[in-house]
Amino acid sequence: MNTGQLLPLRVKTEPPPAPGDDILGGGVRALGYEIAARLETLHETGESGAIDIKSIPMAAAEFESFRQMLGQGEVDFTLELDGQTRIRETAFPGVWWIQHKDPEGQVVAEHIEINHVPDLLRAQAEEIGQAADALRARLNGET
Amino acid sequence: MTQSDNNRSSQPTIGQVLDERGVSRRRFMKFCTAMASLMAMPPMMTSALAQNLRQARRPSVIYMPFQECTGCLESLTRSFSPSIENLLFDTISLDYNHTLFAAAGTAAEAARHEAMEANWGEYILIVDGSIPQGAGGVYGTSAGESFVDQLRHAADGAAAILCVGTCASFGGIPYANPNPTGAVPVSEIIHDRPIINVSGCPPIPAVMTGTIVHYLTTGGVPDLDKYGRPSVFYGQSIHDRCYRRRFYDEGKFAKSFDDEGARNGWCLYELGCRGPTTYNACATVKWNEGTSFPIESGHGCIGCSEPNFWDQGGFYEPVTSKLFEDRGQIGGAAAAGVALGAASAYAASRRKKKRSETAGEEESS
Ligand code: SF4
Repeated sequence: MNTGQLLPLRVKTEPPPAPGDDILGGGVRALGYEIAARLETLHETGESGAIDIKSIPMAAAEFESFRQMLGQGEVDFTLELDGQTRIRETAFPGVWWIQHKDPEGQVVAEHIEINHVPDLLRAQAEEIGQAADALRARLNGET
Repeated sequence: MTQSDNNRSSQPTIGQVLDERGVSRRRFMKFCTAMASLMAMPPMMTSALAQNLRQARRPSVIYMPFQECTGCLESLTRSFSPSIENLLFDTISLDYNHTLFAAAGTAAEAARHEAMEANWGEYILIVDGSIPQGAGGVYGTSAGESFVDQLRHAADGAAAILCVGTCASFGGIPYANPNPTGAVPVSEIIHDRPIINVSGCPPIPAVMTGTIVHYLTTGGVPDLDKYGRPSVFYGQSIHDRCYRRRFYDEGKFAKSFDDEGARNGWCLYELGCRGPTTYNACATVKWNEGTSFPIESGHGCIGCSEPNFWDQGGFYEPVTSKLFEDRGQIGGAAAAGVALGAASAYAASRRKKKRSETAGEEESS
């Protein structure tokens, strides 16, 4: 069974750009405001959100300035799930950059998730129930 | 209870098939995230999409190839492995495809009849190729039956029909003038079943996966454009999403395949690009595992996902401004570009005229 293998955590932080650094074009700035609004919603109501950045046409320079705007937080790790999935916390807690690649290394989906923990990582209630049964079976020497 | 009802309730759900195969939830979520992105769904809908897809019954699929070149099947099967799309295609029950089947002749036909009967009214019928109707249908027969009769019978028991490729969708190359076999698309023969056209010569495999995912998760036909194609994939022209579009808007056109404009990556309109009149997802989903699409390789779009693409004049002549008007789908933002395009088409026709006049002069001298 392919359970996805967690690779070691790499910790490298980049501070967000200094105030006054004007690295942002109009489109990137608008995205930034949208993320800020969603962060406020998450904080106030607990409602998570996401933005599909693969579907937003951005030139390479804009993409880079968007990446720089969000910076790098403490968490950065990769899952092996039919190709790599990289989950990075940005310099803004609660803002996650998630990139899915196929086995050839092509990006098949990429989004910003505004959430306490990315949905993909959360174990689901059904799985947790099954896990308890599986652990008991192992403790009883059945597996 | 009919045999079909029995069979339906005994079909496992896709979730059960995935569990049996040891596909982890996260691996499946990744597939659903890619599908949601492809179908332009908000990313937070991924969980709902995954839940619906897991609960859907594993579909029975009958794949009938008719008057075709097998290019569509080549395109589809070559991309399925090892891309994540094979996650879905590993879970469907492909009950008949005589090209892929190890069985042949009577054994394969018996398997088809058995699968159709067991899933009558429920299976998805995939049709690849046009259907020759000329001379009573004798141009296309298999197992002693004409393609027309085979299609009618298979369509009778289908829940929906997916036309894969431009031949099944619009007649394609066999339908081109003078159409010696009397080829027609599926929609000219079948009128009482939902038909989804996934056109393209060949179609983009991910578009087909997305269409099947949509069908399974909603149990219905997606929103279709006027040619019966899923709007989510065929809603925008190649031109609208083309990375060379800014050169078009600036009036910068390559005039030959090796001039400075071509080397600078300028717009290929004057070299016959049909991007402005072609609706497909090539510019965003791309080909060969997302590597590129024809315009990125330096050749204009030939419009292969459009009806009658083979009979629209030379592939190296600019599309005329009349074609733009016919579609009636020019957005305000594109208006400046269209004016440039029309001017460019005029300039190209002048050049062509000039060339033929010069050739005429040379001949007469
Ligand atoms: S005419 Fe063709 S090459 Fe030019 S911008 Fe449109 S799609 Fe791109």
